Amino acid sequence: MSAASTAPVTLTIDGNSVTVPPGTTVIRAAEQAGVFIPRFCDHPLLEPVGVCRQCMVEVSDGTDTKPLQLQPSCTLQVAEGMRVATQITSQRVAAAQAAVLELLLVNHPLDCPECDKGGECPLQNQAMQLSRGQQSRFAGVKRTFEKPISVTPTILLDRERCILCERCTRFAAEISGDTLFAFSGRGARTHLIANPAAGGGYFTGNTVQLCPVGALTSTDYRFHARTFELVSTESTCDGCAAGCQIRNDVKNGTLLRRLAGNDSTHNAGWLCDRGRYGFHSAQGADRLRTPLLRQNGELVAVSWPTALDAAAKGLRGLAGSQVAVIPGGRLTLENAYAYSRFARMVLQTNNIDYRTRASSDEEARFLMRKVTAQPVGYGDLEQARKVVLLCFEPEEESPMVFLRLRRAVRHHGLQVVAVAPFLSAGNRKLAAQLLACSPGNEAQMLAMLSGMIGKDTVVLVGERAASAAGTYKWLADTVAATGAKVAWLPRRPGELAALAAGCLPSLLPGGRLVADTAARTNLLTAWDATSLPTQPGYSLNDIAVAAATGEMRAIITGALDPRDLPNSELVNSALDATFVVSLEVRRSAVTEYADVVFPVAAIEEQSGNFIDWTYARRPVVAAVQRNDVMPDVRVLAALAEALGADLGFQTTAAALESYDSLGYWRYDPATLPAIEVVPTISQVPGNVIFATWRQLLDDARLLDGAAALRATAAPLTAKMSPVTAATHGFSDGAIAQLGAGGARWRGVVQIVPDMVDGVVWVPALSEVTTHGHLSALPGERVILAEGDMR
Amino acid sequence: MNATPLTPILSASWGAPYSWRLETYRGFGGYTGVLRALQLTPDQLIGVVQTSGLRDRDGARFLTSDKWSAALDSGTGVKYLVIDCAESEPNACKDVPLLLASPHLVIEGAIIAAYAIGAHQVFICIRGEALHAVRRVQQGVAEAYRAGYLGERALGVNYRIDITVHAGAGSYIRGEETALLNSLLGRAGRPSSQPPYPVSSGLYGEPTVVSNCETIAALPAIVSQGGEWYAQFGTANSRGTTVYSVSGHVQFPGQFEAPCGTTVRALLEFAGGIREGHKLKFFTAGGLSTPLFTEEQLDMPLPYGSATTAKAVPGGNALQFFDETTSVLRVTRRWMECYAAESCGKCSPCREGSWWLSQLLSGLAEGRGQEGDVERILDICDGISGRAFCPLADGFVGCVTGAIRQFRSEFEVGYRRAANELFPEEQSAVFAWNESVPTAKSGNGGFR
Ligand SMILES: Cc1cc2nc3c(=O)[nH]c(=O)nc-3n(C[C@H](O)[C@H](O)[C@H](O)COP(=O)(O)O)c2cc1C
Ligand code: SF4
Ligand code: SF4
Ligand code: FES
Repeated sequence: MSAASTAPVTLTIDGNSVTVPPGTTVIRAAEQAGVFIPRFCDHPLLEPVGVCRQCMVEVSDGTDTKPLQLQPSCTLQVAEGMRVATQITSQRVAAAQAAVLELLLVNHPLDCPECDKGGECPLQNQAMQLSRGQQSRFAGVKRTFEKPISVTPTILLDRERCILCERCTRFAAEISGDTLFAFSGRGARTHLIANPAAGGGYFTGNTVQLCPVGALTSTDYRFHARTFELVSTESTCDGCAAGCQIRNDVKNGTLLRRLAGNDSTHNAGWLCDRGRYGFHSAQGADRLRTPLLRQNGELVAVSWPTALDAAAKGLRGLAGSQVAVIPGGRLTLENAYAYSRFARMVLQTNNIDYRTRASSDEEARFLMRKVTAQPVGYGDLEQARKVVLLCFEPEEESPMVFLRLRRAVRHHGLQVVAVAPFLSAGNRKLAAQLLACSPGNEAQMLAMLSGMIGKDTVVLVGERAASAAGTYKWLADTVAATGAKVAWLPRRPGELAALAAGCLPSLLPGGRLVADTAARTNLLTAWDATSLPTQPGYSLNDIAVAAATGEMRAIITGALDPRDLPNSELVNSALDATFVVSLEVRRSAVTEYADVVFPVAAIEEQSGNFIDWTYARRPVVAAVQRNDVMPDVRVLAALAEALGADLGFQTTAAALESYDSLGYWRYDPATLPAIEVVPTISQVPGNVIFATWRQLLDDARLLDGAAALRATAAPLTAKMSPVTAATHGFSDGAIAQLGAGGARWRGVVQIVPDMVDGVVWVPALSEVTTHGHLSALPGERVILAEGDMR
Repeated sequence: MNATPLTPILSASWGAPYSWRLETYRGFGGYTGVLRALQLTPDQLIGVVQTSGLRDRDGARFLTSDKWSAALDSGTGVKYLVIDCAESEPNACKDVPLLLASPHLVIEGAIIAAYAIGAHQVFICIRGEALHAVRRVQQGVAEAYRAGYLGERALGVNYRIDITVHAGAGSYIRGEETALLNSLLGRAGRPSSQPPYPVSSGLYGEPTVVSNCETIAALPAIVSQGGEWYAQFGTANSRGTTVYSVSGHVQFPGQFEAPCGTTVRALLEFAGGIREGHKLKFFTAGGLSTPLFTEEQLDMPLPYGSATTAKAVPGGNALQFFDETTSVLRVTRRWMECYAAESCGKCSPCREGSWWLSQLLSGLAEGRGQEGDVERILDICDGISGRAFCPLADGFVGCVTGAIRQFRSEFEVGYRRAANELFPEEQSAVFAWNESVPTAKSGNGGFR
């Protein structure tokens, strides 16, 4: 074969000349020429199959030596001088398309009035367009099936509506790698079957959106609305830090459905199931609608002025080491900035830490360097030769990054290396090479990794690196020198905004260091403030310790779930011991300790911006308008006012304007405080090393209300190597129990051949009520025992 | 007497007792061709086959040597030879008898072809329902291994050849080469888009030659007796001999090996003519995928199309004769139901069109037709023709439109009267008629 030419190809479509890259299909070229050729199986993100035969066009090779041929435009590639006639200029093509459409409707039930897809259905739309008012001549018997059948808890299948376009099967094979669907039977009896044993995976909802008819529907949305009742808004998903574009569909003030947006730089038409279905948490009965005030030990609903006064009373006079702010990692940039400025200006404290998860000082130093570092993006993943996954499980922690990696593996031969205790199902779909390593020991692998890393490498490091001492130092010191790109990929959507807004004890907005007088003075002027605290504040752990000693008197919390913290008991007692002002969407564990509770808007009820892992600002647009709740920005502004201070802005837009006016403060990395490695793991007695990470679908509060979604999660097991299992006398399927401190986790043993020895993995915060939740850190020792241990 | 002689080359040993055994086959000179082949270079071997003028027996009737050259040119990497014994074209019945009577002919041919194209692994893919044939070939392959004809250093030459017998779930479309390869890979037997053609990217993405089993079976004789010898049979466009299968209302249905280009009239004579007391109404030649023919075309040479066009006609040597008791409508409806059941369901024109057409034809055959149904059928056929993914749909369109073109009035009667009233079924039966034999039920598109 000669090397494929890259010279552009010129052809004519309906007489208009169009020039496209070689290899383009005629249907795509026609789109560029402004001609829409009807289609069903064709999808720009899936490989062409040419099965529906709807996209027929007339093609001449330009020589006029052969009769014009009808060919499917979705599988046909352009050629120089080719002449294409579509339905617009060829009566024969129009007739052929109308004939195929009539055939496609032969076995279709035409139950549009009761089908979810009605109104947004490619079959319905194109039938209306192409049939020109003619009725089907088919008067025979249609094939029927029992309906609907359950594919997964989130998806139903009405087989008689299916037009066998193979989009869903191709999605499963080409994009997600989860073989959920297949076809059975032949002829008109061919029908889609689902393989429930395959589990389904995290991306099944895409097939519902891809399906050009109403054969696949979401249990969540089925029969809930007609499309014309929906008001749609484009926004950004709050599931993780991937920055996926979504469409929120609202009927009568209720968010009913989320769809994937098409933003080509990001999710390009896909969405994970968590993003798609996990939006019900603010719709439950525990939703906060009025402020609450603790009176005689009980929380009672009070008016806003009463609550603001009470909060101000509790906070007044406290400053510096006596107060702290824990904003959480799920805020928009505007909200995070409001917390940051509130802490510094109103409370005169640097005791602010958004990292409501395991964290370390090593991480904080690393993050200082990240604020203004060169961003890494989705495109870099496709251009890289190698991607190293360090303390990061893409499919669990950033599903869209996973999909992009898989694409790069399939199309560009990307090589993926995972540093992990075993090769997870997700990483197996990336054909990743495993550098097996017990948690906490990652640093020992780094010397070996250093040899594997070069300019064409991207290292993706996840937030779990905070408990793998030495990892961040290695990234900042060694990897930077190789020219490899390093991207930090936290799980939560608000982490990068909180970092940019300076919600850390030694970091101010825009990358300014607390310890840097010039930066501080700059901020003082910009904020028109009288003074700013000069000493770095307490980290989350130190805040809790200070509360235990009585030094800390009051804490303001944003979204905080103590279960996310390794030291949750300490934090709970800190909340117990202090005056707590909680800004929350719903009642939570913190509410039980709170003295004043302010309701805040859920993400779909407010506007603002997330900053995703690529440092891109991703717009959040209010889909639901409410007048009883406000975003955190406005609550904090009101609270500042009640304290006789001025936050500097009242609205989200003004907060963003204020943030943007600050600009970024750039440092030469060499001048930044050196990264010190402090062991984070405590030496507790135990017989195995604990490994864990969060699953995409777990007991997170944001997934409350999405029961069907949660039911799709893969069964959870305690994973261990054959040697570990033998040492402790376990066989596959046995019941094991894991103990750490007072907590217990109980579940089924799964033996994993490629796993490192001496380590047991259990999922974090998953099915907590059945299994129990361990707040031990990965790398710590825990006690493994038989299941009936009490 | 018949002017055309029978020329038993492939079928030479069929009548012998235990013809399928290795020793019987050896008695007929078996495995001498392959010994000669292994003394030649692949290029010389292709030259012999080129001289013979052998054309593919089931595909587009390309010169077999052209296909081999393409495979040989694809480089020295892994290549595969896949032998297509799917034979599911209704009426076609040559591959299964061949495999039953003379499995070693195909095995010897396979070794020759594999050596010529540089393949070390051969798959013989037989339709699973033909279990008797599968067993015969399995036993034959085992015998060949024991005799040292297969495996490492087969036949004493430094060339390894392995044969795997694969029984696939049978369906008509599984005979199409890409569907066959999918089935071999464990996928549903549905065709894939071409290009890439199997000869450049087939099984496991490697160059693969797919050949009909009769093509392969012709090789031992060609190699042992020479290309010129083989080329003396047949016509300029179509060299050699082929196994014709003749069925229907004839005296002695069966397989007849004769030179390519034999006329329908001669074949009908081999079969003893139309059954006693009846006369020819129409016939098919080349399976169902060709139009209906009548008396006037009796002097047409077969394989159909070989003299005029290079059109792909699966089962091109299958003849079925029908006498005056036959309702064309009833026969067409049966065929259509067969197609509806055999359509793989991949593409909409074939899947939905076959469903619709078999309902309309059933309606007519049972006298429940609506005025205008015949035009409707022709119009639907027009909407299917040339639009489907693979040639199967064009096959049934050709069959239905051909039948209507020749016998339109028989179809139009279906607006008022059932076909059985004009052509009582029992008169067409060649066996004792039994009322309890279930016939196709109407209204369900042929699915029982
Ligand atoms: C609908 C359809 C059915 C076919 N069935 C068969 C079959 O049963 N056996 C066969 O050998 N070839 C069949 N073919 C042809 C194969 O695709 C292929 O061309 C052939 O096996 C090549 O063998 P040859 O080159 O030796 O003829 C079929 C083709 C089509 C389109
Ligand atoms: S279920 Fe939908 S997407 Fe899947 S094959 Fe059927 S029509 Fe296509
Ligand atoms: S024409 Fe289409 S449905 Fe019919 S057998 Fe071929 S690919 Fe399958
Ligand atoms: S869109 Fe081209 S065949 Fe389906």
